[in-house]
Amino acid sequence: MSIEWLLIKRDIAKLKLQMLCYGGITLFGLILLGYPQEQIALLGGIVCVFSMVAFYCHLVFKNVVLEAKENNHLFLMTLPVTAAQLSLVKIISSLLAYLIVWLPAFASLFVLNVICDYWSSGTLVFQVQGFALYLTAFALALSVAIVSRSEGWTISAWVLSNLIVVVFLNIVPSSDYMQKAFSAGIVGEIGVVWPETANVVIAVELILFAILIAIAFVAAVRQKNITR
Amino acid sequence: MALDTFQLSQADSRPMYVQIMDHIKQLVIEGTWPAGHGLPSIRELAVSVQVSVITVKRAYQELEGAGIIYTRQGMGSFVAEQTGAVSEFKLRELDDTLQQAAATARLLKLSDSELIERLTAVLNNKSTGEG
Amino acid sequence: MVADSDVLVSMRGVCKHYPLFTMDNFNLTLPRGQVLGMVGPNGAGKSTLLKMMMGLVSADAGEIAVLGYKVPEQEVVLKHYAAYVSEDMRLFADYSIRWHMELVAQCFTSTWDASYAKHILHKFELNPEQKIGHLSLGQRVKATLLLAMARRPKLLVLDEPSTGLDPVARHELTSELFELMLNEDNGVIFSSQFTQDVERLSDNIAFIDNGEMISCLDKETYLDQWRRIQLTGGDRAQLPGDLYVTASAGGRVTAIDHAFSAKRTAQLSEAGFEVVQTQPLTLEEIFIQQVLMRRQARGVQR
Repeated sequence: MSIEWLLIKRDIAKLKLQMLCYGGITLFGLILLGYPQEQIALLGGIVCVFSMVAFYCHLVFKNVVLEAKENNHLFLMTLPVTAAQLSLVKIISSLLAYLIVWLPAFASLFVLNVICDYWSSGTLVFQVQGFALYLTAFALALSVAIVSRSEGWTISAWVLSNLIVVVFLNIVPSSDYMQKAFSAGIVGEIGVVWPETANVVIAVELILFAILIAIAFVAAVRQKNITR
Repeated sequence: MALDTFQLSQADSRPMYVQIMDHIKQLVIEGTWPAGHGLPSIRELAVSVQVSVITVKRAYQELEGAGIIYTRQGMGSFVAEQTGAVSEFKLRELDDTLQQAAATARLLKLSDSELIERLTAVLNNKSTGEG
Repeated sequence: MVADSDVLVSMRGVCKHYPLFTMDNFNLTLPRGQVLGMVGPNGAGKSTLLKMMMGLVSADAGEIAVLGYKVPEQEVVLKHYAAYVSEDMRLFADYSIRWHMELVAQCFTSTWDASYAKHILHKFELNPEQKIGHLSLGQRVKATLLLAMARRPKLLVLDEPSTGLDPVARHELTSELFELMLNEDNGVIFSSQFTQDVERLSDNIAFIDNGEMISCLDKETYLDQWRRIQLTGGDRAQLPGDLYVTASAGGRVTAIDHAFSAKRTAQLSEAGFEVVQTQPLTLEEIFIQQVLMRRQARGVQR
């Protein structure tokens, strides 16, 4: 087994507690989201947003920034790896850890959409746009952390990413295309409404995600000194 | 093993290599290490008495120079046939010490007879002390 | 495979610049099977040098080869045979010593010596189940040393290893280092503030100040060449120029000689001086004198 893979596995094992915790909170949020009462469903949505955002903040801090700050890197660098490999390990392990929680949660949306036929026809498309945005926000925090390895810049990237999520939650549901989708009817009667504009939004989110991760990769490969 | 008896002291004012040399000389004079006896390798001795290799190397070189040991390429060092080399060496050391004593006496402006008197006193003291 | 080379470390024309630190054209060659002690004031560049050897910090220019491997090109292979411990290296606070041992063992399957690791655990009186965060400073240093030594490295690089260790632990560390040196191919490079450690362990000593190598000689040569000489009589103007006068009171002059030999005494008496006493210097004194003499020389230039 290659050293890189070994370190990735170690990283994920180290994040087990956070993955379980936030995974559990997300699951709880999703259950509330499926509750046939608007207030409780809204609360479930908020819980979901919180856990998906708080998880990547926690993850990036613990897996990338804290290790740099506590000089664990110096120890890791005495293992047979280069600074670039170590940075790649950090990106991949962070991505994997986030996706391990994100993917099941994302899949559950579709299941919920089938079970909860009282959902508005626009709910699924709204949730999918939201989940894509969490990926983008996570990639922003991760790539800033990888490039800067500084707490200050990482915290600032979190705030920016949180702000983007908040703006999304304010603008998108009240936009024309989503208003139409929400008010079209319920899933049980007319099925899912999927406006064209939503595809554009999702595409933009995923392209941003890809660009940010690519920046992190490029920065990692060019990394010569992890230690000071 | 003879190596265990090596006792070096950081507090001793003699340099480390001199301490090692003196120790080996002692073993040779006593006959614990007879002629032809193989000396421990430089590295072995360095590790066991915990001084650096270079210090032991220096001690061996000086011992070789004094004719107390000889070195065969690739086989190690051995105690040389003693043709009084050790005692000659010791005598030379004694002369050095006495020379120092004489120099100190000159500084103190002691006369030769006063110095001899003091030496006699030391000798007497020692013999009474031991007796 | 170990690269074929009789040279443990070779550095040629190495440069490194930090905002307030400059190292220019640094050269160092160390043969196999030797212990090199690096001594220098804080900020002299010792840590930077050691990190550059291990590929932990990249040099701005110059060539570095360790155990015959080029750094940084072959740093990954090098790290299989060279271990590094520094005072500012931190293990993971939330994990036990055993967790770390397993990680290192998995990374170095061919060189990790489990029974030797156990031996050191016992010798250092460490409990493998204890979390790093719960250890004292001395225990933490011991744990990092354990992880490095149990790999049976051909080269052990130690940056201020004795910091935080009590005298007993220091003694234990020294004796383990000597064990390592039983194998003729092995080498140790370490930096230390404790010149006593350096004095005991090293074959060669490099004095470093301000990113420059002041001198690098074998230990016995240093101890041979340096003397404190007390003189009386004579004319101060007649003193050889390479003597460094540290004190003069009444008719007595105390000077430091950095090129002492039997000739010196003859030279001095010819010049009309009487040598009252010559004393050897400790390495610490030699180092302090070297730095002071250099600073004075620089002051004169300005």
